[in-house]
Amino acid sequence: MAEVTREAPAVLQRPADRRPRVSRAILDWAAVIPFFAYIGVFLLLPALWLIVGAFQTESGSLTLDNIRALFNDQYANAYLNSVEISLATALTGSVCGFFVAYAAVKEGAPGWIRSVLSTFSGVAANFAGIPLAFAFVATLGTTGVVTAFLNDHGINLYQNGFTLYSFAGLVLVYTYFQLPLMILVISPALDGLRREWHEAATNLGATSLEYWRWVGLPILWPSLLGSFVLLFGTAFAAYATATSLVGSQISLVPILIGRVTTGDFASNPQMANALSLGMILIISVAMVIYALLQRRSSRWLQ
Amino acid sequence: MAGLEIQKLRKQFGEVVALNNLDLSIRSGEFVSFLGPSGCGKTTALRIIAGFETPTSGRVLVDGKDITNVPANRRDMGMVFQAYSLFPNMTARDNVAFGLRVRRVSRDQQLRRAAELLEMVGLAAAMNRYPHQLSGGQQQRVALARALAIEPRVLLLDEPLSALDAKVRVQLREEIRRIQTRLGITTLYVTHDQEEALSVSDRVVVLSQGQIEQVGTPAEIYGEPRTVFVAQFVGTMNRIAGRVASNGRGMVETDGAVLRADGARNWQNGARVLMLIRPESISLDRLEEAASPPEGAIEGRVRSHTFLGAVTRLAVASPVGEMMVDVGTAQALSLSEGSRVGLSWDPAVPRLIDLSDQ
Amino acid sequence: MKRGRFTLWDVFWLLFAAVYFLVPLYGSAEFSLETGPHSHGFDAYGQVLRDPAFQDSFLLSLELSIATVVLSMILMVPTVYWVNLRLPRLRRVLDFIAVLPFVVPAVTLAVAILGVFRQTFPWMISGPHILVLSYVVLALPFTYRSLDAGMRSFNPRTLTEAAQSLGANWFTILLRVILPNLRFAMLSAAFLTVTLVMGEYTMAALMLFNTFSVYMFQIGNEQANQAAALAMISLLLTWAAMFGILFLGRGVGRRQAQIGGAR
Repeated sequence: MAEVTREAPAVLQRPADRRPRVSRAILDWAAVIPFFAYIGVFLLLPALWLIVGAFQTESGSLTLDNIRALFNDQYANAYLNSVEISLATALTGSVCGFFVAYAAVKEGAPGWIRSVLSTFSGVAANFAGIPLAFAFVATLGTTGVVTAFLNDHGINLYQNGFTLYSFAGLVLVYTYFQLPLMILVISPALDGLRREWHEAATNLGATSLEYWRWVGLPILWPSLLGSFVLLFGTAFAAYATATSLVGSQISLVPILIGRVTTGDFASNPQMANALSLGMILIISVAMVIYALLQRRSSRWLQ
Repeated sequence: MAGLEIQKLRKQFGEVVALNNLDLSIRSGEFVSFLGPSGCGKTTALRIIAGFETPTSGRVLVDGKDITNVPANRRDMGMVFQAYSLFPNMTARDNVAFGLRVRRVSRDQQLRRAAELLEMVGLAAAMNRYPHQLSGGQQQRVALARALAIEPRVLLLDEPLSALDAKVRVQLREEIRRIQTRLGITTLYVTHDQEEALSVSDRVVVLSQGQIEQVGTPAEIYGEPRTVFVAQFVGTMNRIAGRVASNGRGMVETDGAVLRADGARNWQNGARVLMLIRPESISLDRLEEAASPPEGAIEGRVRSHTFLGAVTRLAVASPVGEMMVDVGTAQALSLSEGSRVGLSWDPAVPRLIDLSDQ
Repeated sequence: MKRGRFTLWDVFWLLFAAVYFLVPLYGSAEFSLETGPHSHGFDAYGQVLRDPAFQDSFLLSLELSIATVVLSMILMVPTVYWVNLRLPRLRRVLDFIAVLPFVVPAVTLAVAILGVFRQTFPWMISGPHILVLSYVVLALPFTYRSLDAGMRSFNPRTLTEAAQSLGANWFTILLRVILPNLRFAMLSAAFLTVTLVMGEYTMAALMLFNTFSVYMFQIGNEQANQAAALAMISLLLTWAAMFGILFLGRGVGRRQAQIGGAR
């Protein structure tokens, strides 16, 4: 069938179309130049500038000072905090997200649950940023709706040491978009877990736990880990939510970058580049791990 | 080895009745097939026996013991699924050993037994290969070995060959039968392919819409269908509707002709019946243009040929409708389309089925 | 028995998810409607909607969204089409590029773009057009994935060759053969882009433009009720976009992970 289609144009080609093969190849590649040029100018070039800038002083000479400065307390702390919060929310998001997603695909789960969950996850995953922070403030802030409700019933959150504007609060808020992200990403993998495997295992005498231990988890772990890593990267790069919620109270890499850029934070402006370089490196490592795990999991989970 | 029995098995999904009070008894060591079109309930019945579905009412007994409420992982049955049931993260050997591993058999024992079984299904060489490295037929052999490894009391097979190529199917079904006979395991085999069911089973259960249409040996099912459904579903059958003639001489009156059927003598005069004759049971002879057919035969004209190898199936237009007749291919060569022929049969051969309430 | 029986454990997790998703939404809805200790009303919404700063910033963001969508489509559709048609080897390159914006997230991209253009072509970053140019990059992963999936759902190669054999030129082919088949993918990408741009704070704030999200941030620090009202308006927009995609998807039956937006 393919043969036939390839013959037809040749037979009916108009004289103007008969270009020599070499220039045709060139024209082919020419057609995608606009795209690559665009990416080059608005992504690659700036990224390169940033990376080089990390190794420059204000006057332009090359130096490693910026990089060395990253290990100073104020910057190192930011990295530690960012890594901490990324790990924490990746964990909460992936664990909870897994159980929720799995619950929705089991038999006995009402049919509508799957699509409702997927829709809600889509909305929640996109609701991140400023509005999300506001929503949580309106709910669990000092004068929030739930805070007031609990107060009326004798449970005084803020007097007992809870505050939304803290590390714990950030975890709570970040999880709001980590959880649905996990659900959206792990559901296809769960679909790939064929029911025949569970039934065969059961038929051969395995309990649910044994199934997971010897069949389910061994097959699923690349996807689980991959999703975890994806969540990690997402949390690390988050800016709007954190700024809105805790501002400069908690030192996080994206926030620090922002503050250096706007001049809020007294430092050599090249530090923004250095900080960004560090962030790019960390997220790149995460993405590479994610890509490798994706390839691994697709082997069994067509 | 155990006998398997289902009593008044009923399964309803909301309004839909998938199984309507099935009763069946399978002897220990017997190979029984559930045969029927999709939706007839054969797979539902199998899954209830395996423990993956619970019946709305009724019981399943193995060796006399009621196992209806025993969880699926404790029924001691081996099941072979239609496809994709091998654990992709384990080699063929580990797959086969899985049931033993669950039973906490020593690793040594596991490996030995797995090797034994893989040998039995002819895949000793593929021991360390992963499922995705095996062909469909090979995968199903491993699945069989895996099910047998635990020495189950009952072997259940859910259309194990449907997903395979035709040639592999024939090979594998004979192998399955051979192994089953050798081990003497009570076996329940679900399929929609009647050739498959007839060729390997001790007995066949024909199902339609949740009911058992007929239970019998392959010969009985094929040669003595008791309902219209079985007659239609199993093999090709010529079906002629008519009324038992009142002359008591074993004749059936149809719109186009009066036909001979010894069985009609046992029926009430005027009873509405469906007369069934297999294509291979009809004799066919060339008939000159002006000649009338011999006593007991009907005339017809050849409409088309279907080449089936050694035999050719001719579609013959006759006064009682289109008849399918199988003739030797050599003979068929001389009977071109449009040829006038006479059709006759041994009057003892046709079967009659009551049409009065159909 | 599909993958295990549905037990109380599963009900717990589904309820947990429901509560977790809905309570903050309820909280902000409630908060946005509070006009006094025990009274409710749409005052906060009224104030917000009447505020000229809101109108300006909302309009700006809307314009930016549309411009981003248009520019994205003009850039991406021919490229994805061409790669599918003539340069399949480039697919892996495109897949890789589509992941890059994840590695250079909004914060970093803002710093990078400011850095490059501040000293070379300062007029580049003098107006909101730079946001459009940047948002096309941020939206790239989603627009690319959407368009690529859409392109692969029909057979562009066969259709192109058929059209060529009937005498069509490239422009006609794109317009009359390819685009109509990409309608769902394009609209899906468009909705995601709009959601992303409307909700984007980071780059707009760092480049000192007054978009909807920047306005939201400023108000939020002053007026709590209005902030909640804005959050609800934002939520409504996201819902509308989600339903837009779902509604379109009814005929096509596509179910993809649709994730965009600021974080």
